[in-house]
This record gives sequence, structure tokens and C-alpha cells, in this order.
Amino acid sequence: MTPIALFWAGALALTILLYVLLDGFDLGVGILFGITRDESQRRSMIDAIAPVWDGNETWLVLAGATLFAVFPSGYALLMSAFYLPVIIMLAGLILRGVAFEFRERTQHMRWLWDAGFTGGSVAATFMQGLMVGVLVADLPVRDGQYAGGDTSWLSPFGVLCGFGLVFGYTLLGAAWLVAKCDGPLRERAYRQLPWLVGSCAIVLGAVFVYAFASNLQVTERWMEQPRLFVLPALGVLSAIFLIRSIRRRTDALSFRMAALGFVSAFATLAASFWPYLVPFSVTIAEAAAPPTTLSFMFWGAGIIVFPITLIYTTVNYLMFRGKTTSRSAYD
Amino acid sequence: MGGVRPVRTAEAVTPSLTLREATISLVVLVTIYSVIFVAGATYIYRLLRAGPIDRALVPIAPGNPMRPLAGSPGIAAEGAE
Repeated sequence: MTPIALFWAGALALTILLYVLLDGFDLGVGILFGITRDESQRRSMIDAIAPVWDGNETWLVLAGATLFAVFPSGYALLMSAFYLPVIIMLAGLILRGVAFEFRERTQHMRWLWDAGFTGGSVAATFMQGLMVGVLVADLPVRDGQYAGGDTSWLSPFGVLCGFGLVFGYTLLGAAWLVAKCDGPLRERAYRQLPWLVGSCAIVLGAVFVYAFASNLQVTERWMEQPRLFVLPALGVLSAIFLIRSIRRRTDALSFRMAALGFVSAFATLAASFWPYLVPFSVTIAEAAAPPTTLSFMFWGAGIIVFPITLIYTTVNYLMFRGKTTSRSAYD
Repeated sequence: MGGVRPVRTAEAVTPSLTLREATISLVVLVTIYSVIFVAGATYIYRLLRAGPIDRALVPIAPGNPMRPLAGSPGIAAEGAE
């Protein structure tokens, strides 16, 4: 693999990881929004993610654009395989995005936008988890082309992973609320967190059992290279510290540990797949665009646009660090 | 233009794309954007009917300045409904 292809593989991995971490928590807050009845708590939840949520989705756009420009055959394969899941995910994200603006402009129709906000968050999250599950387990590929039907993605393992990610993002969302909010909302999020940690642990356990029981190709690598187990071990460690921080009510640490858990899950997946872009059928080197395209992309998007996006994101989060001021303070 | 040749639309279609997939995606997107456009048009219509606001500037503190519609008076916030 050429150094530039390696650079782009790293950039794509970082982009996807940042998307999962950042949009993960605001999708999670969207899901928690659905099980909250109190209007002032609902407003606080929206305020806690309002300055950052659309910036977070930039990383999804960047991931899609990188895949399209740098790994076109991977893009063609994945978008064909996941045509409907991607459409449903995007529909969810569209509904969610407008709900932010529309829900406060109406009282009669607020239920519609609230339903769109929650439903969109759940749908987008579920489809993302499902796609990862199907990608790991059983994506039918022949000669670098998608060889399944239009509903092949609807597999039990995919559905299991979909539920897993719903719990996972909700966990991130609750940890974000703990870090950004005060009062009853923070207290409520602290009470939800242990249940979410438990649910995630159960689904992850089921995923591992399924993966080994059905002898997925991914398990062979883990048997050959036991050193890799340091990555999931990091996840277990983060879960332990997360539980401690919930007990001790250390607001900032909870989110960091929940995020570390996601980093470890992501690294575990990456280690399972390397050097494949589409597991066990298309490698990163095979999917990469011609060298001239890679270098054209490198000098423009790679070393200018990508760092600017990173810097902007960092500045945005620094600017809005700390607890969100409640809107009732102004009323 | 060395080895480049034009690609016909028919050649570029996803080989595995089914009529069902295309139909579902069309219906989903048309439905969602119809709801959004109807709601947006209704809101703009109400703003127009309410006419200009006397005050030079509505205090926008309760709204979130980071959001596109923050400058417009919220119907719910105004208690007009």
C-alpha cells in the first residue's frame, strides 16, 4: 500500500471515529428526548446539543465524500449493499435536523416534530449499528461487486447490532447530559446510566458469543493474534471507570470514559478488519483510487480541508465547554 | 483524454438496484420533504399575515443564537397560538 493510500485510510478511520463519538452523543440525546415528558427538561436537552449537532454531522458528510473520492469501488459496493438502510438513516437525520427549528414555532404540531426528532434519532442510530453488524458478519460480495438482494441487510445479527448501537449512543447521550446539565436532568441521566451500561454489556456479550459460535471469519484473526485482546480489554477498563465515575458523580469523567469505550470498540473493529475496507472481500489497497487521484485529493482535501475541519471542531467545542446555561435563566 | 471514454447512464446504474429500492427511496424522500415544505410554507404564511413587528428588534435572548430561525419570532414563544 502506498503512503498516500495509508494516509487516506487513516483519515477515513479518524473521520468515522469522530462521527461516531460526536453525532453518537447527540443522537443519544435525541433518543433520551423521546422518553422525557417534562418540557423544560426537553428544552435543556436540545440546548445541550444545539451548538454542536450539525457540526457533528459534518463528519458523516466527510466520511461519505472520502469514501466516494478516495475508495470509489468501496463506495459503490457499500452504497449498493446498504441502499435502503442508508436512505432510512438519511431520512431520520433530515427529520431530526428540522425538528430542532420547527418544534418551538408551534404548539399544535409540536408532537409531530418531537416524534420526528426521536424517531429520526432512533432510525439513524439503528441503521448505523445494523450496517456495521452486516458488514462484519455476512455481506455477500462476488468479484468486488455486491451480490445480495435488496433486503439481504435484514439479518438477525445486523438487528442485534442495531439494538446494540441504540443502547451505545443512548449511553453516550446520557453521559453528555451529565456533563452539560445541572439539576433534575443531570440526576435523571445518572440514574439511566447504569441501566445503559448493563444493556450495552449484554448486547456486546451476545455479539461476541454469536461471532464465535457461528465461527465468523473475523474470529480466526483473534485466535492467531491474542495480543489484540488488549483493545477490548481497554473497553472493559473504561466500563469499570465509567461505573466508578457514576457512583462518585464525577460529571466530566463519565463522558470521557463512555467515549473511551467507543474508541476501544472502534479499534477492536479496525484491528479485526485490517487491511480490508469491506471485510474479507475488498482490501483498502484494492479499493483505492488511482495514484493521481489520491495525490490530487491529498494536496487539497487532505492537508487543507481536513485539518481546517478538525481545528474548527476543536474551537467550537472549546467555545461551548462547561455546563449549558438554562434558558429559564432569561425568562 | 488518453484512455478516457464516456460512460453512458445505463452503464453507470448500480447493477443490484431493484425497482422496489428505487420506489421506496423516492416515496420516503418525497414524503419527508413534502411535510417539511408544507410546514415551512405555513409558518412563513403566518408570519406574513401577522405583519411587521412594531418593535425594532425582538429580544432574542430566549432563542438560541446559533440556530437559523433564531431571529424570527417564534409563534410558541410569543404565545400567539
